Amino acid sequence: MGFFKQKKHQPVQEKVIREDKMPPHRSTASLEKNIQYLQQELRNSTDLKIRLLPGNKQALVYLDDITDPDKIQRYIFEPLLKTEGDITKIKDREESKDLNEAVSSLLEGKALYLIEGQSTCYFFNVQQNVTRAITEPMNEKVIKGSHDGFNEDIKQNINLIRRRIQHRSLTIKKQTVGDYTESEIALIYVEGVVNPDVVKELETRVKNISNDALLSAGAFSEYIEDRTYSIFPQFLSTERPDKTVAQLMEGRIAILFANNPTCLIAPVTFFAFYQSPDDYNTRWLVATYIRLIRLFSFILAITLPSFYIAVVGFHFEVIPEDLISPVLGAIRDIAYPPIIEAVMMVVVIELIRESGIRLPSPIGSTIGIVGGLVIGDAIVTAGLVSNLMVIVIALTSLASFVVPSNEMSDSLRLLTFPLIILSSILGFIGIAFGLLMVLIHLCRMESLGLSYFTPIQFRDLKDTVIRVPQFLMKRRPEQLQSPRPYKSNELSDDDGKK
Amino acid sequence: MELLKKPMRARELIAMIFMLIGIKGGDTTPSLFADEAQNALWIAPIVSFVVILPPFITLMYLLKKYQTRNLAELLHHLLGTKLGTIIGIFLFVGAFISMAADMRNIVEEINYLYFPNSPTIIIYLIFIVICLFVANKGLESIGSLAWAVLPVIVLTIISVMFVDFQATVWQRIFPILGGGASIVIRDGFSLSSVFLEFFLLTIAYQAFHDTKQFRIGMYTGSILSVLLIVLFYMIYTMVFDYNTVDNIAYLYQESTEIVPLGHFFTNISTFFMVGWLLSNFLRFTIFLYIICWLYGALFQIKRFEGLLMPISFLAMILSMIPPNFITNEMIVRKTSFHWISPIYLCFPFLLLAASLWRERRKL
Repeated sequence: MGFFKQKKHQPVQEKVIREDKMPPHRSTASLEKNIQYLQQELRNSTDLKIRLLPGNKQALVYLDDITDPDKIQRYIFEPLLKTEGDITKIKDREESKDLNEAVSSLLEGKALYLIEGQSTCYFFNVQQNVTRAITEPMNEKVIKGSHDGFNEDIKQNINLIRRRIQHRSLTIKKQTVGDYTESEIALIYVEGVVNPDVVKELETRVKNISNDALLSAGAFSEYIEDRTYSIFPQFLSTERPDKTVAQLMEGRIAILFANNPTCLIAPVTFFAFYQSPDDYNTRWLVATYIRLIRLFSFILAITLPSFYIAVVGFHFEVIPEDLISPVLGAIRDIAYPPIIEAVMMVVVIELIRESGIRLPSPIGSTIGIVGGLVIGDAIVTAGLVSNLMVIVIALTSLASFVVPSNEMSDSLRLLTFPLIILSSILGFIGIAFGLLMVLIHLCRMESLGLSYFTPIQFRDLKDTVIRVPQFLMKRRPEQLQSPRPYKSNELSDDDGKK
Repeated sequence: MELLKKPMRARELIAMIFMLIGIKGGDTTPSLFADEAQNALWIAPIVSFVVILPPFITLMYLLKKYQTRNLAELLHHLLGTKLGTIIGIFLFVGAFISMAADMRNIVEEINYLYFPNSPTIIIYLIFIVICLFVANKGLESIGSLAWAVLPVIVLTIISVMFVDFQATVWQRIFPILGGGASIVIRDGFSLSSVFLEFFLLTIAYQAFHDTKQFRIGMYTGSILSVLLIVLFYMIYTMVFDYNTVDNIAYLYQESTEIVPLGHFFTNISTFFMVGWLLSNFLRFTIFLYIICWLYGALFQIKRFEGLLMPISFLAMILSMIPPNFITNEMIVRKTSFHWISPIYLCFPFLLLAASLWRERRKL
């Protein structure tokens, strides 16, 4: 892409140093100078509070909006009264002589205690915790199963996971990304179950991220995924702790973000997007049936419009004899070719969907019904689109929403377009070609270096296309190449014995 | 970035062989056999398979014995660079002609059955472009793809067999030997290069996880494909009887055409078309890839993927020479098989002789 590189007028910009990598700046014995330095470094922000204590020999410095006044009272002033102003006797304090460290502590929500004539600064953790209650995620509701979900507090999220895996090998490695934001992320895995090479790979990828701000899980995943240009999602994102724990125990890695309820899971396979925690809480036969329905819906979602277009445009002989006259009657008076009809209808459906999301939920569903019914009816009566095409597109979009994962459902809807175009040019050959392209793309895809789609082992079918009873699933998925391939200490193979 | 290499295993090879050879149950090959063998149509491929088995096992034995990387290296190793290359060129030309003729056949079939109004050359171009697109991704991707597509193909095959089975009259396989034992054997012999892909696939001898996987895949795949072919030909015989069978060009499509599925679905043949198309795309992708590989290995061209395009277009141009489909099928394809078969049947024994001679010279 040398063409796009600007060689000449390269803008000059200052390098930003992350807070934890700031070179030390020694504090002085003068209270005034220290406060001046802090004010200057924090750009005289108005939320920087400097409370001079009686006598003007001591000062308490903190950022007003992120500290808890109650905690300041309880952890600093009350003990100070008890010890008669001797700060060194108070417990739970940190000390430093570095003013830059003092600045970062202030930013974390600590209060700084400075004394005239001393160069030592004392820190107290008085951070104000802002958390949301633990509620079930809106977009991942289950009928049976636990109803808790992650929220924006990373500590609480880790707590939810730790409570479920009470073993010492549950490893949590925290790091920060983003030079300005210093967003905290936590890589979580079960040592001994996860493939160590995958962990190493992920760690190097995270280390190589260089950016000012990383704010969302989606943006983060684009930095570390294998194929950014692919249409398929390569990280499973969930807000459910039970799903996360199940994936951790399979041998996968979970990535949690501070201030973000989304948890990313990798390495994943294509089939992981079709699994739902509900599957494991219902009877296995029912779960298998639902899985098969989902698989069918996948095929339906990407091929139904193109199949219809190919049949109407090229392969009329496929239509059963009894159906020929109704089909002909439906499409005879339509002014546009099937592809235009299909694209029009898909766009209408997308419009209804998108407007439904943005509107408040009571209006959103109304808009969905009104938009769907009114537009659907009017568009057929006006002769713009045949009623068969309305059925086809409605079925297709229904099928695409069957996928438990939102990202995969979006990808599927986008994938319909190239197939529609191919089928309108080449009929069934076009569909075959399109499917081949999709398949070969899937076959070549990787998630953290492990294969994404193939090789599909017969053994792995037990928890992908169908779901067999739990006692028959004795092995972890082959794809993960786990150092602990069996799910129990007994090395018996999948012979079906309990 | 690839963290873990995924060398191919036996299952990918089985899938590839299935696509490459098993699919011959559904193209125009049966009409080639039916021409003389009549209702012993299904015995002739067994004869062909039995005929190619000794040379094939010899070749596999030699590959195992010398632990060479592939067919071309074995040729060079045993026969010397010059003679080895000459034999290699013979093999290449044979395979190339066979591929070109088969490709024309399939394209004509698509054209005739599903796109009667489109010019052949356009269908051909689309076909080649699709094959090139897939072949360019390399052997591993093709292998995985073959394995991933296999369920669709198997499903198609099973449903076709189920549908066809309703129209069969089992007494039609009699007389078992059709046109006569000698005719069947002669037919099987002269058309044995229908299975020449088995020999070609040995070019990938060391591309798999280990050579044992290759051997397992090779033997299992070949037996499965031959079984499939025999089963399909048997069904054709039982559905159409000997009179019709040698007059129908597209037995596979025809057989699905005549049987309705219940009262409602009357023209089901097109439903089986997607599976059939997918498998044929893959078949020629694999064929094209291994032919280029053979060529590259013979002339020490390491990045032989660059040959895919010239070789495929050359094949296209050459295969367009026969004026029509009948000439292509009955003259070009049949005659070429008669000429190619002896080359493929003899060269493993030539290699074996060379190997024995070398050993004797060492002593």
